[in-house]
Amino acid sequence: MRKVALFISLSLIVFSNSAFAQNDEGKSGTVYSSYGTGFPIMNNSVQEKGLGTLGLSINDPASPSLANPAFWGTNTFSNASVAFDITNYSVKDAFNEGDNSLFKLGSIQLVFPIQKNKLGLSVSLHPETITSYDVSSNQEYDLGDNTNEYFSNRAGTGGITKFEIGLGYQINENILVGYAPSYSFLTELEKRTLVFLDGIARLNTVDTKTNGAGFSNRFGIALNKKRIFSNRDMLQFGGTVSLPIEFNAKREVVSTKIIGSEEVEVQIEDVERADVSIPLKVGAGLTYSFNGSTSISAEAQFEEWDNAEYGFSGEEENVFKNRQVYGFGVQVNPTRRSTGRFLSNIKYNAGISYDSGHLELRNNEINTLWFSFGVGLLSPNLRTNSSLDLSFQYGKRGTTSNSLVKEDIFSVNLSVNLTELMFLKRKLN
Amino acid sequence: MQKSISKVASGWRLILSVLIVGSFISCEDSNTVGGGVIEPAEIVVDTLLLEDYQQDELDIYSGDLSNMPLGKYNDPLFGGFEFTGLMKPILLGVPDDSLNDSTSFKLLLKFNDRDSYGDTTQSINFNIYKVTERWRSSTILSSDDVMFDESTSIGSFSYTDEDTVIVDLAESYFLEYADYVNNEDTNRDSLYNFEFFGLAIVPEDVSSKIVFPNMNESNFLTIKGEDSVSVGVFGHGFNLERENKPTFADRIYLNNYLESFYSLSFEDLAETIDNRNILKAEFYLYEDSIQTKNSLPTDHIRPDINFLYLRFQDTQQLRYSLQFTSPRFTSIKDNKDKSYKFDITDHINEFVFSDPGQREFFLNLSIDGGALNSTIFFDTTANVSLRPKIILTTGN
Repeated sequence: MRKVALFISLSLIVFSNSAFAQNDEGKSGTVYSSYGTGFPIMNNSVQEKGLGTLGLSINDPASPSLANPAFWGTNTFSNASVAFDITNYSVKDAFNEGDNSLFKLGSIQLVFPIQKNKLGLSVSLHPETITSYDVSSNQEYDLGDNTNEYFSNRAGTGGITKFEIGLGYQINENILVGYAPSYSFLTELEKRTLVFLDGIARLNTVDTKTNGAGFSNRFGIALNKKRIFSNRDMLQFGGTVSLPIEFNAKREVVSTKIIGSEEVEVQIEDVERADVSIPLKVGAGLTYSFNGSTSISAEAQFEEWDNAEYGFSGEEENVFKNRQVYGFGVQVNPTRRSTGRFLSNIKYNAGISYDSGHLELRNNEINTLWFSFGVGLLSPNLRTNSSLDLSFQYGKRGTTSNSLVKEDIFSVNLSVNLTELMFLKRKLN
Repeated sequence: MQKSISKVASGWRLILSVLIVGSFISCEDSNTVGGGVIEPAEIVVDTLLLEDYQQDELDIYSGDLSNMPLGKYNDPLFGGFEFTGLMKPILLGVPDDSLNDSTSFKLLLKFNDRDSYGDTTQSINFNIYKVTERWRSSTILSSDDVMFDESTSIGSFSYTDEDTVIVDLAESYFLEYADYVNNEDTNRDSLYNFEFFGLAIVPEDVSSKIVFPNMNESNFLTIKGEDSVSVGVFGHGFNLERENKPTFADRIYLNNYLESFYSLSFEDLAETIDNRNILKAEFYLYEDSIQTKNSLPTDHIRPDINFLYLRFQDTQQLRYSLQFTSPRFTSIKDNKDKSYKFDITDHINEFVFSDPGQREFFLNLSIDGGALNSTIFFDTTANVSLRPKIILTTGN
């Protein structure tokens, strides 16, 4: 219990630091997160990221996952997990090249077995979308016969964060179901800074703040069949449906002006309310485990972005397009644990995935091809299922044509997964 | 068992260390890639022509300014100016050795920081007379006609372009002053105030130049043998007589002696502004430098102006406000196009988001320490590019 309490405390500290860091100038993510409510984030675990899959058909008690609620009913141990990632974007357009980097907290999840291997409860806080961009440029404008210059910067932070409490239930050995209602917060801030480069520099900033909240529901199912081709193999099917999240969002645009010799924050546009939504998502996958130590997975997810709403900007809403994500991966745990050697406690994952993206800009689909590799470090202590997962992803997104941006993405993801027998009495001390 | 756990722990620690260090070195500057995806802030420039302003006229407090104009010049564009200077020495303390007819009395004028106004090729002659009525430097106005005795000159001098002029003053005038200095009665100060009125420095009629002695360094001198004692100035001021005051049908005329200044308000223009994100609001005036330059004969000069002011009237009377209070906005001349630009962004924002309180501005030239400045600006009849206007820059 003390371990989990310590874990939660540390997670909150890191979460607050991470949130602060996201607002720091110089740290930013993809420029494509400037559209709508931000760039959608897959809520698969770090292990599943290394595997290149969505995690819909993969159940690993040592690495809890948000991907499929159906698996939350299979736990023996209480489990706490926190994930971080560092992502570097090497970006290029028709004129310039550069780099963006982002360090952020991925998710926090606690899974409690209410009834061992039957009914489990998951509590989590995780991002659904992320907005993180920071782009500057020098611009010109005509003033009479003269051409003057100004510096422009637009930096966005925020996104949708989900607080989710869900249940997973194992109906029998072969059928598992899960349900996860959640409350989602939309919080976005775009800072527009403009400095005239002629004469006295006057800093002009405009903050666009968008806020909203909405309920959502997620359902999961998992079916498995053992001993298909051998005594130790197993085929597992997983599927999830996430219903749309609808926000009645509020947007206000404020700026700081000098009024009566004092700096005062004023509204420069009327407060606006609009419907914003995240669309229906349907995903399914198959994982075949050959012998308990080697498995392959193939998964796909469809997201109905054609129906997503972004009432603040018809122009931005029009670039949404349906999104498909496909992933294929292999996991190998070559040696048995408890041998006392460091390498014998490592799982290896590798995979490839294709994300068609949810944006179509100037007839260009903003898709991403990912190559993934990951390792899972299992605790050598047989009394616990604690683990540390690490994954590396390399992705290529976008294009430099039509004034768009091509991104070479390198991401390192880390999750710390702690397990403990919280609600079971120990027979021996 | 214990040994193997340590190895695993070491491996974990190594990976965590790499990640933590990586997180700290992952800061990058905001970069310029992505302008085609994330449009830069757009700005819109509008021009609002100022049509409503009123000319006004006052005279100034002419006492104790840093410079005291002396001379006479008929400016072809701005008319005739004739300045008579007034000075009075301080009353020295009672000396151990009385001032007497073995002491001489002189006036020292310093000309070290101002160009003259008028014909640079000519000298200018002045006569000095005794003032015959009481005046006070703290209240004297440029229009006050202070009387002096023209029948007896107490000194004279000629000025071309010297740094310093020392003028001998008549013995009779000095002895009159010495009577007050040597007087040991308790009422000597009040007698001096009410009975001794100082001197007037009067240009000869044929003069064609105005000069501006620096009154912070000018003074009187008593000289006895080889001993020289500086006698400070109790007060100074000037009287201005004008001839052929100009009237401009199609120009804004400004004179820093408040002969012409303007009141104006931006309220009507501010009410027309739709966009509330005002990035810059700049009020422009364009000097008619060609007419001012071409109006002067060869070898004649007129003091240049470089500053222009917009002021509110404070709690003081208007004359005092225009002369001595700090301006709300100051503009420096852009010599490229002879324009003056006031950054009135904060004032316009006050209209849009609050109540500016004071709405009426006064446009005037600086008193400039007492040096005479006049100029003209294009008005509402000029080409649009030269009219008084606000250039409004707004953003999205």
